[in-house]
Parts: sequence; structure tokens; C-alpha cells
Amino acid sequence: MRPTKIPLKYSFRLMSRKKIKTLLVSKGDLSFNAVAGVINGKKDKNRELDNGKRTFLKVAGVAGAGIIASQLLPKRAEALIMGSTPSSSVVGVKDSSNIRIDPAKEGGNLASIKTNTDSFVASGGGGYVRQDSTATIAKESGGNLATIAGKDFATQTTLATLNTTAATLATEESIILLRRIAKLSDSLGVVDSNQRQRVSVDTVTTVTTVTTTGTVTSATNLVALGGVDGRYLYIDTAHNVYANAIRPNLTFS
Amino acid sequence: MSLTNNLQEQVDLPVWEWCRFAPTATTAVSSMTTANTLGSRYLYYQVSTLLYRYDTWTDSWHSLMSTTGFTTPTIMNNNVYSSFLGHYGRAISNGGGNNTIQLAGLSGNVLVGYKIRIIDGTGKGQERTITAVAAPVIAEQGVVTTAGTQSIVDATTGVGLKQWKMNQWRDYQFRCNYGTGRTQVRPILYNTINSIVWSDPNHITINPWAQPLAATSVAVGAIYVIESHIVTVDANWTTNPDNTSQFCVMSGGILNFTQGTTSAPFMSMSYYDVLADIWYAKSTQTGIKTLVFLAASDISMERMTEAGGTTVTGTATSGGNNTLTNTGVTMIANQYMGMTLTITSGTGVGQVRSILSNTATVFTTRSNWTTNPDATSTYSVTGGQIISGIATSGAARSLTDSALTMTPMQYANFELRIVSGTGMGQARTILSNTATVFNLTKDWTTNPDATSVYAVYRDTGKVWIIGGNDSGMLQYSVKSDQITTGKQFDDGQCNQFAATRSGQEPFALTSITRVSGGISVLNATPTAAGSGYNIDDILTITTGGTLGTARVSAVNATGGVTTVTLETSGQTYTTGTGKATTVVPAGGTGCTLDITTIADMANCITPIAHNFYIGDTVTISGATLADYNGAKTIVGVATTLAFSYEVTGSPTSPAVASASPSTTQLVDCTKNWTVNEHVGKLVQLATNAVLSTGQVRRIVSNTATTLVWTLAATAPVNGTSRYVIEDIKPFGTEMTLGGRRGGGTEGFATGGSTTTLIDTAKSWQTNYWSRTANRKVRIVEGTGVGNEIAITSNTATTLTYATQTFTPDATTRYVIMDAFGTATAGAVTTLTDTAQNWDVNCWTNKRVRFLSGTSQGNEYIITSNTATVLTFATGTAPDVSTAYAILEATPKAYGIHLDMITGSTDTTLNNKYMYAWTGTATTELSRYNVTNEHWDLLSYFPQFETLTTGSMYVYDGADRIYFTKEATGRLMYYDLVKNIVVPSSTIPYGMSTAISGNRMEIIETADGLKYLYIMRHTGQEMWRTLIYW
Repeated sequence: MRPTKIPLKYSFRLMSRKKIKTLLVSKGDLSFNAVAGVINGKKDKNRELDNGKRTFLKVAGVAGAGIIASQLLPKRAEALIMGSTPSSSVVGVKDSSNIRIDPAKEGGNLASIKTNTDSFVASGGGGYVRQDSTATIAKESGGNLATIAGKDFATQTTLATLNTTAATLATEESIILLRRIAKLSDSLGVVDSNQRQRVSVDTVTTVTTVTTTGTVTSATNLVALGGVDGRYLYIDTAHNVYANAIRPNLTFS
Repeated sequence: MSLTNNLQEQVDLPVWEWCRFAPTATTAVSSMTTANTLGSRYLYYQVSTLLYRYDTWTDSWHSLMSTTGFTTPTIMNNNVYSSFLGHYGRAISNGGGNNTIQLAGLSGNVLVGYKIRIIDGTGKGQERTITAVAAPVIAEQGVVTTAGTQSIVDATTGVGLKQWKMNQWRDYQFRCNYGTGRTQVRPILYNTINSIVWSDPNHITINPWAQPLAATSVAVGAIYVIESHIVTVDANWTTNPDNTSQFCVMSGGILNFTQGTTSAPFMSMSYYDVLADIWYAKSTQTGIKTLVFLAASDISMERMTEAGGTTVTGTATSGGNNTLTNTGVTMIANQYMGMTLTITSGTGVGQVRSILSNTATVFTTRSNWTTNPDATSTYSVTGGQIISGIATSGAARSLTDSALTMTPMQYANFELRIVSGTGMGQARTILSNTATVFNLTKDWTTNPDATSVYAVYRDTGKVWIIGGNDSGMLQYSVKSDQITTGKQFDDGQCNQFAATRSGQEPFALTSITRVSGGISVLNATPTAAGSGYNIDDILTITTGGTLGTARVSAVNATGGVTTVTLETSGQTYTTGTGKATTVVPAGGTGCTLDITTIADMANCITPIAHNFYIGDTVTISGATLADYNGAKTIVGVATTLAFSYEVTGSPTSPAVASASPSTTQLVDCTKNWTVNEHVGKLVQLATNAVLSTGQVRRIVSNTATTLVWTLAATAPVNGTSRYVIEDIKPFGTEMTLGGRRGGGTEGFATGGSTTTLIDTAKSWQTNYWSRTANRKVRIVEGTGVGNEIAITSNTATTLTYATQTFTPDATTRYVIMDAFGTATAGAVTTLTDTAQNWDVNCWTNKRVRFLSGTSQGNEYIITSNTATVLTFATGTAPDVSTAYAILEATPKAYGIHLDMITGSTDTTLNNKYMYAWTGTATTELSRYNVTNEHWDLLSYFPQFETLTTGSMYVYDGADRIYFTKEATGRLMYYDLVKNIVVPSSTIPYGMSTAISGNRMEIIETADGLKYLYIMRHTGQEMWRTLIYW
């Protein structure tokens, strides 16, 4: 991709790096269309101009406000507004009543959570901890995880029990049905040791019409021909042979 | 029609046509069969219980009655069609004409065109062709009130009340014509007052065709008719048939032998009547087989045929409407009766007629010629006769024709029939023959004489069975309905007392009691008619005696009795008029009767339902007092378990039987055996069940009417136990090498003394039969029969033994017991016979079969032997009751077959050999000599193809046995004459899995073309090819 120059119309404009980078995209690279305003391979010139203007104004506005604020706001105010401690330069946080909020930390509220031994209260609190309540964190043994909404979780023990019920599962109707479904989906092919499928072709018992057969190498058991036992072809031939070869040589007078 | 066949070997290749597919695929429990003459239109295919018929004319199949109701074939199965069996029954009367016969004629004209042969009773031996069957004459009809597959009851009351005479519907036919079970037709065995029975296992002992089950039970509410038909034949009878005449319509039948269970007796036998589409249950016995047959192995049956080819040819000197004369010959009168006369060239060529009779120079045909022959006409006589002639004399068990020059034993196991003259219609199995004499297995009923014209036929009533991994071969007799391991001599049932009606087997009697005052003649006209009676009301005469009854046979307008017939004779009556009566059913009153004559009556009780009715003539036997015995006329039949006849001489009552059955004795009072003629033979005892418990014992003595053995058996039961006497030497018994080298172990004596038997045809090694142990010689017929004698020394031709009471002569036939006998000791792995001196291990891998007593029916593989001991794998220990035989044949299990040779150009093979393929993964082919009962193992060329399950076989009726190799579809043939195997085409499509069962047959067209049919293994396909190469 060959880079191009920034258009001349931006020559005296304040521009961000990102904008500049965007403008350096090749004109032929339509994959960047979302930014470049390309629709179906054609540039929308009006939209391109509007986007450029809005971007420029945003950048210019932000830059101006920043310069002004940095010159006008006193340090004190900064502390009051942001909850910081001006003396220590520690940044603080206040609530909506302008009261400073002490963040949780180990040894503080978190320590209380950690050491909380209150029993679990099912109503209202399940699933999270409130510092000011008696609820406790669910735990595997003796805690909430053991019972949620009255249902037991599978444990190693219960899973072992489940394993012993395999015999029952063998006759379980749904399982049988599932097996049948699975069986139906099996391939008719035979898979050999190399996982190759061998295809068996059933005997063709009835062929309604064979339009053209180039060569039949061997018909080992031609049961019927034209609905007539196939052997009659030979039977009738034999009769003909007899009629032509034997019978004329026998005369009665 | 003359055929010209221009097909050329090497130029024309075989063409296989595809036939229509069978309705059911082949299985290991299926088999196919066709007529043994090859000239059938149909192939019969059974698979399990299903039976189909393939029509070779129209290339199509249809179903026949299945075997439902019998043992279901599940393990192995075989069928054999015989053209010389058929539809059996007994005549009701002669039908009122000289060329008619009244019988149960099925329905429509199905009998028309078939030959009908009278096989027993009045007129036996005659054969005619059925030309017409009249519409049925319906004698009775009703509604079934008790259903059944074997019988029904009609207990309808009121107008439809049945009060039939006992057995009045005997031999009529029952036909259900409405309701469940309709359309079925069955001949009636007997009837009670209101029941009809067409199938009764108890009657197996009386009638081998007594179990034709209904395919569908005839249900309550079904409507039935009882009917008969008048059948017309193509020529007048020489002797008109009557109600004793047993007939066979020669329409063919199929015997089915199948294994359906794995417990004894494993197998069941059934018969399919092709004409009537009815299966009959036949019987098998546990005694023939104890070890289980090898599952899924094969069995094969073979039958004999009457088609004996051309007997004689000639040129006519003249002809008439139904005659052909040849003055240049001198025939024996009626020698060719029943055979076929064909004009083979000249005037009238192509005409075929049955010979009604012949004189020395003239044939008379049963129907007229279309074109009379003349001096240009040549002719041939064809039929089943092997030889025929006229007897010079006859005896109880032989027939002599001094004009013959037969080779001894040439016709053993053939059948001798009297075709004309004294004893006409009788047939017996030939036990042996000398140059001029036929010896028989049992006595003639009527001895032939110098008027008797005879003919030798193959024994079409016997069927041979191999397979199941056995070495032993079985024989089934159609007539005796028994299966045995050896030749059958005689058969019957246990009879203490018996009543025998002509044309059927005897009914046993439980008791005969004489009573006095029995009514022998009742005046047909009552003394007083009374009123309110109906025809067939039964009147019991209450004055002066008891149990005397009469039947109302005619009434007047007010129901007064005008005519009665005697129903039962009762006792203690006196003659006179006005004898009061009571009546069933109630209604009539006032009839009194007139007793004309009274007499002592013998009241007989039968253990099974008899089929006699009033007026029958029966021969009573078994009582010690002669007054009870002899020909008697039945005067009263109270029930189907009782009848009475008039007895003279007031013999002591009750009658005493001359002998009683026990655990060691069988009684058949209808026999007249020579004392001890059966010693050493086996008797197989059986119950009357289809799958019977069979026990075989070796006979130690016999009287005229009893057989005695040692090891106790279940005592035969009078009237229901059956028996058959068979040879101790089963078919295919081995002989030692010394015996083979010496010319055999049996023959006719050519001389001898009380201490010697001479057979100049032999060349035995000196003292071979007496070395170490004294072998036994058994006299099997003729002078000395029944003796078993230890041989103390021998020369090349002479056996010497201790002094006997007889002197051998030319009638004496003997056999040296070198591979069969009776055990002298036994254990679970050994059998000892101290009368032997075998080469060590000469019998290794052969089979020993236990024939009687302890361990009967077992067949074990011999693992080694000493001079006197056979060792085998652990089995059931034999003991001194055990008769045994070492068998020649290789066991036959898979892919086996048995074919009788009938039409080879090598005539020495015909009618003599059955060729058997061993299969079971071997190349073996052997042949069984029907006359000497030995197997020969053949070497043929090339002999490399092994055969087993799925190999199928068929004989072409000439010189070839075609066979396929299992599932390959390759066809080959064995040339009987050249003794070679030749490739012979291949089926047009692959076989499927090879399975047991034979499903390959040959059909010969009228023009002589032979088509071979093969069914595909485990498939429905069938193909045929014309055999022209």
C-alpha cells in the first residue's frame, strides 16, 4: 500500500495524530471505508467533509478548555471538588453529601468480610454479602453451596451413586431411544482399522427398466428374463437344437 | 410303424432337452421309477410323502396320492414299479355272463384296456382283457354317523336304519359321494349290521391288500353308496369266476421301501396302486434288522419282469377271423395261452393279439384280426415265459417233464406256473431243478398231472433289497407280505383251528363248540304273517330255544311277514310251526315261524373279524375229532366274530385243537408238512402290525402242523401271529476257498450210502472238510432232508460220515456248512462255531450276520478270525440259539443300485444275474446269481471312477447300465457284454449338491427309441436325451 499525502484543504488546520493517520490511508484501500466514507467503493464527498469539520471542532474545543482550566483552577478547589487531601496530596472521594468516603481496604471493611462468621440467611441475601447484614458467603460444606433453592448439587459421592445405576440406565426408555437415534445415524459402511469406510451394495432384485447397458460381464444367476424363468432361454434353445439336429434324422413310415 | 434312425456317431452329438421342472426339488429322500418293461408313458417321482407322475408324452407333471398315514420317509427312500402287480380284489360274482365278472370297478372306464388275471379261487390262471365297465349298480346308500379312515358306522335310526346281513357287502366298494372324504373309493373287507370296514390290520394275515387307508377321514354326515360294476372281458371265460375268485388287474404298482425312524424295524413298506391311486400299508419286521441303517445312505430294490422276449417264431399256413394256423409245427395244447401273437410281416403285419388258446397247429386269439393272416404272414409269440411244456407227471412238491434236459439249478428261484390242465392257475417258487424235474418250495394245492401245461416265469412276486450299509440282501414277497434274509419256503399264520374259504387265506378260530337243536332249515314262509313289520327286521325265535334268528325278507301291504331267511341257528330248538318271535326294531307283532329241520351245530368264534356269510363253503381244520373238520357250509352268522355250521356225529364239545402255540412252538393246522422237513431252517414270527415285532428261531423239529424251536420266544397268537419259513443260508452266503476250488459246496448227490454222499461233479481236496474239525453237511431237500451231519472224511467227490438212516439219491440236495451255521458259544465280541476250520483271518473285513435267536438281525464287521472264532467290534453276544452266516457282498451304502438283466444279447446273463454297484466311494461292481445265490465281484475296464452319494443308475433293458458320477453330471455306461465302461455324454447343466436316491430312468418308445431321463440333484430340473450311440 502506497501512502498518500494529506489533502491540501487540511494545510492550515489543527489536527490530531489519529486524524492524520486516517488521512494517510491509500485511496484505493476500500477496507477503510467506514472512516474514509467509502460506500460501495465510491467516496461520499459530502460526508467526508462533514466528518472532517466535526473532528476539527472537537479537537480544538477540548484543547482550548484544557488550557483555560489549567490556568484558572486553584489547588484548593481541586482538593475540595475531588475529595483529596490537600496537605498530603492524597486524592479523596466524597459521596453525594460531600462526605468523604473511606475506601475499603484490608484491615477495614474487607477484613470484616473476611472474618465474618455469621450464618447464611437465605431470604434476601443469597448470593452476595452485605457488610451490614448477617448474610455470609456460600461455601461448599455447611454453607449455602450445599443447598441452593432446595436442590442438592452433585458431589463425588452422589456421582458415584449415579454410576452404580448404570444398569437402570440400560433399560431407561429415553436412553434406549437415544441409542436408537444414535444407531440410525450410524453409517452403513464398515470401518476398517484405518478408519476407512467400506460400502456394501445390496443385491439389485428388481430393475424396472435398464435403458442401455454397455457390457454385462457376467450374469451368474439370471433368474428371470422378461418375467420368464431365465433357464427357459436355454430350455427352448435345447428344444430347438433337438428339433433341428435330432428329430430330422428320425423318420417313421 | 417303422423307424429309420439316421443319426451318426461322431457326426451328431448328443442333445439334452430340458423337461419341465418337477413340482418339488429332489432331496435325499426321493426317488424315481418307471415300468420294468421301459414301455411306460410315465415316470413316477416320490419325494418324502409326495408322489408325482411325469408324463413323457406331454412333458408335464401332476400330483398323485401322498403317503399320508404311513411312516413318513425322512432318512432314505426307494421305489420300484412293477408292471406285473396291479389293482387287487375279489369278484362278487361272474356278473351273469360268460365273459363278465362283477367286482368293485372303481369308477368310470379306468379298468378298460387292462388285462385281468384270476390269481386264486375259481377260474384261477385265466387272463382276459377288460373291454367295458358298466355303470355302477348302487346297492345301498346312507349317512355316516361315525367317521373313520378305515371304517365307518351308519347308525341312522328310523327309515334309514341299517340292519345289514353280516358281510353281505364283502368285496363291494364303498364310495363316499358327499361330505368330507367324498370321492374316495375303497373295496370293502367286511361289514357288520351297520358298519363298513375297508382297512383292518388284522386282515394282513388273510389278505395282503387289507390296508388301503382313506386319504381323508370320511366324516360324520358324509353320504356314501355301496356299489359294484359288471365288467366285460374280451373273450368268454373257460371257467366262470365266482365270489371266491381273486383277481389282479395288471395295471402296475409301486413298492416303496423307506426309513422313517431310527428305531427297529426302521423301514416301512408300502404299495401304491397306480390304477386306483391308493396307497396300501405293507409290513416289515424287526427281526430282519436290529442295528440302525446308516442314515442318509441309499437303498435299492429290484423286481422281476414277465417280459421274456420272443418265445417262438414261424410262418402261417393259413388264418381265420381269430386264428393263425401253422401246420408245420406241433405245439403243446395251450402252451402259449396268455402270450402275445404278433404278425411280423406279410398279410396283416403289425397286428397284435392275445392268445386265448392253442392246439398243436392253431393259435386262437381272444379278439378277431382286423386283417386275417394268410400264408404270407410270419408271426412271433412273445411273453413272459422262459420255457413251457407239458408235464409227464406231478407230485405234491414237484413237476416232471421227461422231455426236458435242464441244467441242474438252472431255474432255481424262478416261478413255475400251471397254465392249463390239472392244477391250472397255481404258481410256486422253484426250489431247484434237475434235468427233468422242478422241485418246489411248498406243496401244490392240486397236484399237476400229465394234462398240466406249465411255464417257467421269473418270480415277479419277489423284490430284492440292498443298501443301508449292509452286506445282506433282503427279499420281500408280495404274496406273504414278509421280508426275509433267505429264500422263503412257506408262510401263514398261527392257526389252532381254521376255516378256509377258497381263494383266500385261512381265518383262525378261537373255539368250536357243538350245540344241539340248532335250526338248520327254516321254512321261508312264516306260520303267521303278523303285521307292522318291515323288510330286514330281525326276528328272534323265542319258542323252544335260544339265539335263533330270522330276517324278514318280504312283507305284505299291512306289514305282514311273507318271507324270512335264517340268520342264526341258535340251539335247543325243536321242529314245528308257530314259533313265536320278538322283533328288532320293535313294531311288528304276530309273526310266527316254522322250523323245518334242526341239527347239531358247531358254533365257531374267530379272534378277528371274519368275512364269511351264510352259504359260504369253508374247510374246517385243527380239531382232533374228524367230525368237526372238513368242508362245511355256513348256516348262520351271528356276528363278524362268530358263525356256525352243521356238524354230524355229535362229537365231544368243545372241539380240542391238535396242538397249541407256545413260546417254543407254532401251530398252523392248515399245513401238512413232512415231519422234520424244516429242521435247520429258520422261522420268522411276526405280529399282525404293519411295523411288526419279528422273532427268528431255528427250527429243531416239525410235525405236519407244528414248528418247534428251543429259545423261548413270545408265544405266537392264534389268528394274529404270522410266520414265514426261510432258509438258514441267506442270500449271498460266503464259501471257503477250499469250497470254491473244489467246485462249490452244494449240489445234488449222485449217489451214496448210509455213510457217504457222492457228488461226482466236485473235486474237493482230500479231507478238507474234516481237517481239525468235522464240518457239517446239510441235506436241504430230497431224501434225507433236514439232516445235518458231521463229515468225518472226504475224497474229491465223496463225503463220509457216521451211519445215517437214509441213503442219498438223486433227489438229495446238500450244502456244506462252511460259512454259516449255529454258534456253539458267543461273547460280545466273538462267535464260536467249533464245527468250522477256517483259515486264520480269511474273513477279516467281511460281515457276519446273526440270523436267529439272541442278537438276531445284527450284522457286524469281522475284525479277525481263528479256525473257529469270529471276532468283531463289541455287539450283542450271540449264543447257541444264534444262527449266523458270513456274507460275500461288500456293504453297500452310498450311490448303489441293483439291476436285473433281462434282455442282453449275451443270453446267458438274462434272468440270471442282478448287477449291483457298491458305490460308497469304490469302483466296485458285482453281480448276484439268482439261481445259485452267490455274488461275483467283477473286474471291468477301465475301472477307476469311484462312485458314491449322488451316483445314479439305470439298465437299458439290453446290454448297458448307464450311470452318472455323483454331482459331475457325467454319464457313462457299463457294457455287460464287453465288460467295459464308456463315456456317454454329460448333462447340460451342473448338478447341485449330490444327494442319495436314484432318479434316472429310461423310457422306450413304441418304435424302440430309448430316452434317458435324469433329475438334477437338489433341484427341480430334469433332462432327457435320445440314446443313439
